[in-house]
Amino acid sequence: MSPAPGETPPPKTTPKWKQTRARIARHRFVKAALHPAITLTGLFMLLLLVFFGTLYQADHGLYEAQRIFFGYIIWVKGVIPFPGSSTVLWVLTLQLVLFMLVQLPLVWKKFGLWVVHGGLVLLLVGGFITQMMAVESQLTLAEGQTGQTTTSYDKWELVAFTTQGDTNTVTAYADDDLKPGAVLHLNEYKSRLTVKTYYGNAAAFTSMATGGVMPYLNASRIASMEPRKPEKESPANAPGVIATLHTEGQEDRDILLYGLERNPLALTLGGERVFLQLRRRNYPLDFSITLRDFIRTLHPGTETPKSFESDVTLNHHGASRDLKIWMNNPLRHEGYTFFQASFSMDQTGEFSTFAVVTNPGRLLPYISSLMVFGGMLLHFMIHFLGYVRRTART
Amino acid sequence: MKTLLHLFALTVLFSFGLSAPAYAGLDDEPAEAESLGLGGEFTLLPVDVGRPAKGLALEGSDKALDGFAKMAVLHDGRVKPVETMARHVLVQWSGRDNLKGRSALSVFAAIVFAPETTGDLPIFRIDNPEVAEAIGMKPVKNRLYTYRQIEPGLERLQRLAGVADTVKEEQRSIVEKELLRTFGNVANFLNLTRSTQFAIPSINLVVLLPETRAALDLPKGPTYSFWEMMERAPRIAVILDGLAQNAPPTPMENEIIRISRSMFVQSQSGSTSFLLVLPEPGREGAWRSPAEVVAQAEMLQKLNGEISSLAKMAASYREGDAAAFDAAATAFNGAIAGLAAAEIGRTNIGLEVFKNRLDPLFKATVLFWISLFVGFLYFLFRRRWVYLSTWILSGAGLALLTLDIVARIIIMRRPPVTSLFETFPFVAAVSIAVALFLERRSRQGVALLSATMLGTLLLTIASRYAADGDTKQMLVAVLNSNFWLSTHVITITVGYAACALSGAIAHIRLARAAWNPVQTPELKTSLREIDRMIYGTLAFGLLFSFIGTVLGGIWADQSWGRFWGWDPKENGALLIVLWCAIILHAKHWGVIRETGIAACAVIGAIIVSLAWQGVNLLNVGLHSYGFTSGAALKLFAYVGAEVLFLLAMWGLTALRKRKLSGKLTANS
Amino acid sequence: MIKPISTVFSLCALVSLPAIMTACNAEPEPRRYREIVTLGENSNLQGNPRAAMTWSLPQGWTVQPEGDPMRLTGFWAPDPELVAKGEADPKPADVSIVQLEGDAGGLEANVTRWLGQIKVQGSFAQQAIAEAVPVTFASGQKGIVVDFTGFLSGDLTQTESIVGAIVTVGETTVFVKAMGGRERLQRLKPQLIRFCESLSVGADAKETP
Repeated sequence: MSPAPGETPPPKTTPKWKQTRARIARHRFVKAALHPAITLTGLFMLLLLVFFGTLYQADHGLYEAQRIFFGYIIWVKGVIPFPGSSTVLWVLTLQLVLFMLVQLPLVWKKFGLWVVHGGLVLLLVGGFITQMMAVESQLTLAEGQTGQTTTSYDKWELVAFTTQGDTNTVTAYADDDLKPGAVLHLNEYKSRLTVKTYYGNAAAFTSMATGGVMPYLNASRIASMEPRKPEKESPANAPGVIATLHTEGQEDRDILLYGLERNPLALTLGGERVFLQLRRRNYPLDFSITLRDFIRTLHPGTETPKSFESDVTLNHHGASRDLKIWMNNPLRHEGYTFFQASFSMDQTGEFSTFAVVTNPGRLLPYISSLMVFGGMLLHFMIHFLGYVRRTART
Repeated sequence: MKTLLHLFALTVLFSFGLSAPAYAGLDDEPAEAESLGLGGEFTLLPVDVGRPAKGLALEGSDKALDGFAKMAVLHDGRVKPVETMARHVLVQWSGRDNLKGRSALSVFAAIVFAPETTGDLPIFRIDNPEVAEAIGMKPVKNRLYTYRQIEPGLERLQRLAGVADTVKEEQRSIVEKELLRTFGNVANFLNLTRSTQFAIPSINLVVLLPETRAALDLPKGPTYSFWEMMERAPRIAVILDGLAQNAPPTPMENEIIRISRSMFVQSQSGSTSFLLVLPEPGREGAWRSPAEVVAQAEMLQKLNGEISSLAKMAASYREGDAAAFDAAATAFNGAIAGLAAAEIGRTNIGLEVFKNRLDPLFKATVLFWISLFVGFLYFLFRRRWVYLSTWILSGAGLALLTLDIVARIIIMRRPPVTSLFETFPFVAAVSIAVALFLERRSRQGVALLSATMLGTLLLTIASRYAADGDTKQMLVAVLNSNFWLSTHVITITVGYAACALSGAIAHIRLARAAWNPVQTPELKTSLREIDRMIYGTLAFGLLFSFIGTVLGGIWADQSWGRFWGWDPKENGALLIVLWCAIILHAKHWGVIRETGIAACAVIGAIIVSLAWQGVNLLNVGLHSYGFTSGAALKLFAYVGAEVLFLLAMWGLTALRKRKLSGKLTANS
Repeated sequence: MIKPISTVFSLCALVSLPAIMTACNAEPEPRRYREIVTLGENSNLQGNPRAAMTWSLPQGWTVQPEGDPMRLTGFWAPDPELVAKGEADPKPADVSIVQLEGDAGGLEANVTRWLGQIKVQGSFAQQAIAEAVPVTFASGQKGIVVDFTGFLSGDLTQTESIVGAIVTVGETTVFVKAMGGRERLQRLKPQLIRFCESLSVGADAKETP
């Protein structure tokens, strides 16, 4: 009903929550938090971090570059602090969420932007989940061999295990926990280990260097270790740990475990024969994989590989399935994904190596990318149509 | 029947060869082309084979060699026309695909059919004078050497190359790399000279007595090829059979004995060559060289007709008989097409030869250089015909470029942009097409000029990469075609193209604004138009770069289980996305305006070039599969040039402002 | 009205504090699991669980880092004379332990294989086996030690020789092979035999001193 002439039309009432939202957006703290300067500076810092991180990676390897540039603070030249990628991403994510909560206009014209920024938040969240929860490991099998445990590339663990028949019962402490002073309880063997020293990468020397003196219990006659700079390729690191072993009813002893030792330290603890070892983390699987055959095809007349395939059998709770794994065609089972990663061949036979990944946040990048793409397309179409209409008129 | 006789003759010959000691006291074992302790594979190039080749009469005409050009050969994992292999090989050795106007095909034909004439061709490029000196040669200014020049130092070259080979690849010095490269090239050359050895006259098969010649019905000699003798094997067999057990052989019989022993030796010494033109019937991917087939009786039986054709080709080439050569080549190609129907069916030899000869990429580059020049002229003299000419030249360039890309897709049977080289023509095509589209709408000439700039720059770089050799190479397993990979690469390159175009237009915009700091209304309108173009292309750049990055992540997730791995190339794409996002947000908040946006677009072009090229120079991660030495320097030079440009524009603006305001104050 | 903001902030602070505290002071928690051991496969494979093998390392011997996937373990064994003098040995012998399935082709085949590795021509396998000394591992398995230092290689430039033990362990065969200069190996032989006698393989492995 149009208003009678002379009367002003009744004001359109904005819903209460929209008013509150607008008021919150005007608050000085909120305005400060949403200031464009933070976004632009944050994005620019991210740009610098990615650029210099990539350059650093070329010389020092991915692991080190990630450790330094992806942390929370980078100490430039040891004294000047600069935010690391994690800090910047947290700040940007929080700002983005706040922006969507209180400031992004709730109009159809901006719907594209809603989808884009929602997708971005999802992408960042997915990245965080992957960072925290994804596990990458590998499984190498010879033709005919069955494997039930995958091994980490560059993460280590200090284990104490006993063997019955073909099974080891393992108690494992992650390398992240091996800090000086940390106490690792081994209650089942009435013992505990107190870490004295841990080196992420070390060189080990045998008793010859110390003239035959063995200051630590060790399976390979290693008498001393020296720390080394981390290797460019993180799987090449060889860690070492020195710890004091306290067992009920026995004297305290110092033990040394080194990552490159082939064999564990065998001791009698609490009446049982226990093996102690510093080794790459093992992840036992609920099922087993048998490599039946590995096939490599070369481009004709060259040494360039055209394809790698592995014929495997998946055995789960008695049921077996014959499957093929090849480049770009992984096997997915129970949240694990097995990729054909590499292989080796020597006189004794052929070995196939699978990269094994488990990541609960796996699908998030797909969803979020779709959202960002769709949102951008939507937004640009709205504006591009405007441009076309304008230039068509001239 | 004929082949059975051949087999029988061969067996008889062999048995005589084996019982050679019984005839001790006769001519000594014929001197083989001496091997300098280079191992059994290395026989040197004979200087004279006794029957000179008139094949040089065919030298100038590729038309006569057309049948040979279209012969299918398995090289570098792909079945391709001989002409492509010829070009590739010559580029590898000399850095150019022709020898002083003589086509690669012609040179290759000479190496294969008349090798003794190729000793003095300057086909080996040795860039480093130290290497030349190490082999005992005096360094030449144009750095091209002939085989005969290298020959005396060949043993030394082999030894030095052997030492260089023990050094790990990353730690090799430039000299060591050049030694290995040179030795490899010379070894390949020698290898190819033996391709049709069986059909080329040999000094070991010389017939001096007219009686022998009559008995064997031989043409004029004095030397003959293995195959010519093989064709007379029954007659030889008959004569050898008729040798009286207790009487000494006649001079003619002696000669025949000597010939048969030479033949035996030669048949045993022929090793494989790289000219793999004979497919093994029934086995895909197993192609053999002629020497291999000749040495194995069973295969010879199956491929007798083809070997005959090759022999005819060699003979007619050497006699200068173009018609016979063509007939033999056609017969050979027809037979091969029947034998390896499936494999040949997967090739496009005719198209490939056509594309090689047309060389659309080179022609497009030339057209764009000309159009760039003409385009600049338009900005000085605003004439319609200049405008039209620029359009026509650019359009023609784009057409040739598209032809090149499409032909490549058909020939290689895989999506475009699967190697670093291929990104250049593709980015050029996309950015030029978009630029021309924009030009149609705005008609200011700005987009047109950007098109010419991009065409010139990108295609010139592409031709540098093409100098690396065959640009149609096979891929390692992980890069095998895959939906995600193909879409990822295409979208990313479209993103590069959009950002590159934005940067190109921005250059012109900055120059324009700098030259005229006081803006007339027409200039303002025109600049507004240009700014919209820059913004629009930048936005598309963001869109496609982002999609491309994400598709790359999906491909990585599908292939090895992680969406993002901070690989340098991934990071490069991320840098582009971040930068575009920064520009757009900064514009939205009014932090930068038109000039600022244009300057940022230029910086965007720098970032694109770093992401595109720079990451390969870091030589780390999954993306290091394309590499050209010297590129790092050129990249830095480009970045430096852009920075200088920006500074220059800034300075020019200031200067022009002062000049114009000086004029104003003077006039007021 | 605006209080919600400060409330939110303080909530965050409250939540984060215990999180930080737990992260700092918590004693490490172990992971407990069971894994299946693979015994008898001839692939080192970076930590595939294997039953333990223990030994007593002779003086001067050093353990080689992981590398060759065919070996279970490798050592560098310097010349005992140089060790006694306290000097370093620039070319120590290479001692490897390899475990293969079944009888790995049989005693004679493997001895022939080793002879081939040092380019000894002629068939001396039978003779080498006949002249071999018996040896017993600490865990009880019996085998022989073959000594090739008395055989000349056909290639006179070849100066390396082999002294090695071949022992049957359950369903597998264990090879302990020392490869190096001939005289050095002759001096090393007693140490090698003592090393083999200290070797414990399988469930009967004894504790390292």
